[in-house]
This record gives sequence, structure tokens and C-alpha cells, in this order.
Amino acid sequence: MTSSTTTVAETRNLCKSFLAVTALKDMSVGFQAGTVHVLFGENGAGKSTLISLLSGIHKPDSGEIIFDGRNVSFSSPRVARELGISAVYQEPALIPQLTVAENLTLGREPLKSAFLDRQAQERLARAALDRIGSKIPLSAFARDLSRAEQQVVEMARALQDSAKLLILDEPTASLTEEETEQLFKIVMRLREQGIAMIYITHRMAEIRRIGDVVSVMRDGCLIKTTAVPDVSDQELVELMTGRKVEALFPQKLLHTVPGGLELVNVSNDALKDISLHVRRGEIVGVGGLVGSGKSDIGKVCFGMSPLTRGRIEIDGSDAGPASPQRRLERGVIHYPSDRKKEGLISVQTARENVTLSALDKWLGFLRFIRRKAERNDADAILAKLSLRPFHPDALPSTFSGGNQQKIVLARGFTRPYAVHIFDEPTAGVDVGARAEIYQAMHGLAKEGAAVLVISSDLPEIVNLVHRAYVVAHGRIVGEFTGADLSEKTMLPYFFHEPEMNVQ
Amino acid sequence: MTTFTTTAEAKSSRPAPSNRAGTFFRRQFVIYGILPLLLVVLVAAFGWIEPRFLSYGNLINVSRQVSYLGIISLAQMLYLITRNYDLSNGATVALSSVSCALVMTNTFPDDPAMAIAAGLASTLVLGLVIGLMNSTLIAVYKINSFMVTLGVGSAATGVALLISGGTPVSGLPPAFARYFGGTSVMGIPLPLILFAVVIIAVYVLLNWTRVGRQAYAVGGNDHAAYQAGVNVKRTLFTMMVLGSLFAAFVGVILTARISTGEANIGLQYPMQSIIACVIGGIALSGGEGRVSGAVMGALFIVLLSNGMDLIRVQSYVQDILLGALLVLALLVDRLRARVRLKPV
Repeated sequence: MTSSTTTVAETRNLCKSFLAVTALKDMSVGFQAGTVHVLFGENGAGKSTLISLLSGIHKPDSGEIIFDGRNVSFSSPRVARELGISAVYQEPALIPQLTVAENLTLGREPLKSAFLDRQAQERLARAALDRIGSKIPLSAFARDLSRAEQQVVEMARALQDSAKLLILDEPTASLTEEETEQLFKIVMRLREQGIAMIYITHRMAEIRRIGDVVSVMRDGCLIKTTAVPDVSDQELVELMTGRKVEALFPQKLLHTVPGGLELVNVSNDALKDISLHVRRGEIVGVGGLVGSGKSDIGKVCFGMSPLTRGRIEIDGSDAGPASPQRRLERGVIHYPSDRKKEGLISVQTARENVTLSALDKWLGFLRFIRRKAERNDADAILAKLSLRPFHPDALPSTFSGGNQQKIVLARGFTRPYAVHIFDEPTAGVDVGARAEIYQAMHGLAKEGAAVLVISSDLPEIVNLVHRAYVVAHGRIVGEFTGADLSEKTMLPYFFHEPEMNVQ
Repeated sequence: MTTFTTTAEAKSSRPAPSNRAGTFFRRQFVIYGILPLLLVVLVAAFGWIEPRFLSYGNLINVSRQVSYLGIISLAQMLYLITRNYDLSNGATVALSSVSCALVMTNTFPDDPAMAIAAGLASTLVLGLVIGLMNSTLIAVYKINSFMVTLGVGSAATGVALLISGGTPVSGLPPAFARYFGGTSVMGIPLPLILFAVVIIAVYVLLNWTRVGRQAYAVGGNDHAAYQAGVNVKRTLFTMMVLGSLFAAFVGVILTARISTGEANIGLQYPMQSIIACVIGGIALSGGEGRVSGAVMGALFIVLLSNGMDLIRVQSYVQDILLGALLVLALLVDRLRARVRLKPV
């Protein structure tokens, strides 16, 4: 790991409340130079509060922050940054219409007598990218970069003021595995340069991969800080949730019944000759890289994109016209990957979001909505999925990612749907809520629904589903059951090239 | 910051007795903004300064004015809920006024009842046509509603001026003005009764029907609504056609009031109805707003200008005040959005 033990930053008995809610209690923790310190905990455990105090967004109610041996207090993120604490958040916040160089020098543009000094700007930007070993062209527009590249530019920007402590808040949440690897290389390079890093993640594998020290937080308190090799995954989950977790994934019981979803030689712009089937009672996974076309399979099944060839059958008969409305009537429901953009209506309550796709069910006299019945049914479903906090009247944005996903998922329980299609069901979802979502999926299959899970998270596919397909370049390149349903067997198929001939 | 509360805690959402009043006011503020308070202050202030403000005659006058603007504002609201503007409602009023007047004066010279029926039918068709034009361009061709309704409105005004020759259309059947303009039921003027009917209709539409709920969803996030199985185009068609029908309807009752068809009435309605809606808490960003808000917003504008007329405030000064109030309402709306994020 690291031989350096210099403590760069330290918090002493830090407390913070928002209104009547205690977000952080008595937090004392130290961050060492050249160390990747992982913060691990469910949403609402206090991780975000801690980093908001360290990066100067909020001020602590009591307690001290020691940085570089001095007791410091920040009036704004800018002050924190100038002292040497910078943060990079989950969603890149570059200005899309500006170039990489312009983004990197934003707010600190070098001037030559009141005019922009373009040469100095480029020099500064180049130096920032060199520091983290990136070769992204300076003249590229931010909007043309991949999310990983944007994240890299964010990191370069964060490190400009010779940062000594870099905070990374779920930087890989929306990255592919390949992009994540690139990012890890930069993290390791920075570790060698002696920078202290706070790394927030929900992914177990990442803790092992790059973490040196891990602090588990729960309910605003520090539960335990320990070296990563000294703790098992099982222990971490137990520390985080405060309860014994049998396993994240439910037992795979398979009891199929006739019917389900079938695709026969389906082709369109993104897909080539896709044939697959999901029987009722079965959970089937679809894996593949981002852009492989795996999400397009879900979209075509839900009627969001038309097919140019082939056919889709539901319970043995043709699926009919391609429109989400018609497919819902046929008993197909799709849970989109981007909850904010495609799933939730931010101005409607959690309850109204649940009932939107099945309002017909509550139409009564003269087709008026029976609002009381609607309310009772929606609340019962949300309670069954243990929405926390249980505020069916609140807007979706007041819930954590996991609970937002439960609101979307609740739509599937308003009616007995035959086919449930999940696209990235647990992206940005904490472990506690994740287990509940998996449980709900198995519940659906047990009751005789066909469940299709599209995911970039290979361990999720391997542990959750009965059978899986891998998609590459719009084609199905492999089908896996039984012993073949393992990360080792499946992963090579992700990188299948059209000219290669993998059987 | 998201926080977890236990289910037991969450279920007892009843506030502690000590701050129950505070919670009550916060809830009212989140739902209605500061408008009810402003209305009370307004009525009290004008009533105190100028006793005529609260006289029966003035109240009847105000009730007529508020009926016209109120119906137009509810029509505007149907557009705004779906995150679209209607800048054509003033032209719809004008064209409706001219066309119904022309139809009445040129058909069935011997049968006023038939002439009135034909006039009403022509208005109905007009509202339908304008609503369909707006919604087709907006929902099918996905052109920005600001430009669509501006264009359609401009064209409709042109048609109104063209077919009326730029002069008021007079010679309407006397029965028309008598029944639609002057009738009172138990002292309540007919426009106010019609306004009440429209309020109830729009309230039921938005809160108790599927298409109403779906309209909020479409205005809030049309992508998500589409994926939740909402027929986005049909929803837009329904709301916009109804909105334009209501606007055309106002043209009829205004024509009855002034007994002539005018191509230049209603010019002020696009702006005034948007201001009424915004003051009433209907979000320009779509998906948010209550019927009571639009009604109170219209009432506020009418009371303000009526009161200022009575105490002889110059109309230029009135414009300044109205503009300032609009900005104030928008500022308060920002604050409200922030409070709203916390569960009530």
C-alpha cells in the first residue's frame, strides 16, 4: 500500500444538523497522504455531509477540521480549493459548449492587459492534463467527450490549485468498465504523487480494487475505520446496514410456466438478428458493454423503437404495434435506466408517479378517478416495497436513488404485468435498497412473470438471473446457464468483435 | 441531504401542537403562495381608501370583468400545465367576436333564435380550428408553442380585421345582448355563473380525470410520461382544443356585453392571462398549478386595476405596479419551490 503516514486532513468531533435532522454526529477521522480512503455507507449515512463540510459547501455546527496541521474553517468551496481541498462529483459539471482548455481555466482565465491570453490558457490547461497523464485534446468541446473523459477533465481541474486532498464522489457511477479502468490508473498515479484521496462508492469491487483504507458510516456516525485487506465484503455490508445480511441476492428458485416474451430474428438500426426468450417465472439477464445494443433490446420490446425485421411475441401471440402505451396494455412494462429523465415526473408526488401508467384501473363513475382507492392502492404498494422515508406525498427528488427506483418499480405492481424489463435497475442504488429490489424481482418471477434484466453490472447478472445473454455490436454472442453463468466465462464475450468467431 | 426516518415516525406526520399553526401557514404558503394574503390586503386597503370599491354596483362590475379574464386564465392554464404558452387567446377572442357577430347578422334574418344558434356554432368551430392548429403544430411538428401561438394569433387577428373591414360589426339580434349580456339570475350576472361552471369543469378535468392527470405528467416530463404509457399527443390535443374553445367562448359573452363584434378586443389577454396564472402559482416550466391559483390570479389583477381606476391612478402607473407585482410573484415562487422540496 503506502509507507507514508502523514495526516493531511483530520476532522475532530464534527457535527452537523439540517433543520431538526442530525446528518453527522461526532465524526473524527483522518486522511493520510498517498492513501485512497473509501467512505462506505448507505445513502443518508452522512458521507455527503462529511464531504460537503470538508469542501466548504456547508459549515459544521461544532467540531474542527484540521488541514495541513492548522485548524481551518472555509467560507466557500473556493476558499477550500485554494487551500488544497478539491472535490469531483458524480455528474461531470463541465460547460458543454466550451473547449477542454476553456473549461480547465474557467474562473481563472489568464489575462494580458484585459484581454484573454490564449497561449497562457493553453499552457495552463496542458499542464493540468499532463499532471494526471491525460491526452485529451485541448480544443475538443466538452460536449463531444465521453463521460469518462469529462470526469478526467474534472479531476484535472480539481487538482489545479495543487490540491493535497482530492474528494471523489462516486466518480465511476456512470462509466463503463473500460472507462473505470482508465480512471483507476489516474487515481493510482495520484496516489504515487502523495495526494490524499477520499473515494465514495457503492461498489464493493472498487473498494478492493483501489481502496487502502475504508471507513464505514451509518446514521451520521463513523462505525469503523480499517485497512481494506483486513475486512471481508460480508463484514462491510453488515457494518454498513447494521444487520446481518444473509446475502444480497435471493436464492434462485426456478419454476417456469408457459408463456412469456419471445424475440425472433429482430433487427433494427441498433440490433441485428436478435432471438431470445424469457419464460414466465424466469429471470433472464442481458449483459454487454455500454453501446452494445443491450438497452435497445429493452426499448424494442417496450415498443419505443420500431423493428425492421423479425417479430416479438408475448405469451405466444404477436406484440402488436410499437408504442409503450400499447405494450403496457399487452402486459409489458419497462423500467428505464435514467430515472430522472425517463422514469419519474419530478413535479408529481411519489404516489402519482406510481399510478400514472395504470390510471385506467381507478376510473369509476363517468370515468372519473377514484382518488381514494388510487391513494390506498399506491400507498400499499410503496409500503410493500418499504419506501423510506414513507412519504407518498413527497416529490421524487426528496428520496435517495434507491428509493426513487422503488417508486419506479412500484408501477409494476399496480397490475399483473406479464413481462418486466429492467434497464440498469441498481445504478446509483445503495446496497440496502438493492437487496430489496432484487427481492422484489424474484417475487415477480415467483408469481409467474417473465423478468428481463439488462445490466452493465456483471456480478449482478451472474448472481441474480437464471439464464443470461451477452450482447456485442447489436448481436447476441452467447447464452449462459448453469455453470457457464459466471463472470469468468461471460466476460470475454463482452469484447467479441464481429470478425472473431466465438461459439 | 436525504435522511431516513423510521416508518413509525413517518406515519405520524401530525406536527407537534406547539408549531401546528406554523405548519398550517407553511402548508398554505406552499400550496397558494402569498396570493390569498395579497388579496385580503388589497380588498382591505381599497375598501378603506375608497368606500365605492365595495359598493354593490362596483362589485357587479368587478364580477363581470373577472369572469372574462378568469375564463381566459383557466384556458391559458390548460396550455401552461403542458408546458406550452397560448399567445393566441386574445386573437381567438377577437376573431370569435367578429365571426359570431357576422354570422348572426347575416343568417336567418327572420329567426333570431336560429341566428344566435348559428353564431354560437360558428364560435365553437372557430375554437376547435384554432385549438387544432395550435396543437398540431406543437404536438405533431414539435414547434415551440411560443412561436406557434404567436403566429396563429397574428393570423387570426388579421382574419378578424379582414372580414370585419376593420369596423365594429353591429346590428346583432337584440335578444342576444339581452340574454347573454344582461341576464342576471338572483342578482348574479350571467358571465359570473358561466365562470363558475368553467371553474368546476376545469377543476374536475385536471383533478379527477385521466387526461388531466396525464397533462400534469406531460408538462412535468414528457419523455417519462411517454414511457409510462401516456398518449402525449392526445393529451396535448385535448388540453389545447379545450383551452382555445374556452377563449372563443369568452369572445361570445364579451360580444353580447358590448352588442357589437370587435376585432380589437382581447389584445391584452395573452399577457394578462399569463400574469394571472404565474401570480397564481402555475409554473411556466409545466406540470404544476391549481385551478384556485388561476382564479385568484385573475381576481387579483381585476381588483387591482379596478381599485386603482377608482382612486384615479394613471394607467401608466398601473402598468408599472402590475409589472412590479409580477416580478415579486416570480421571486416568491422561487422561495416556494425551495420550501416545497421538503415533504409537507
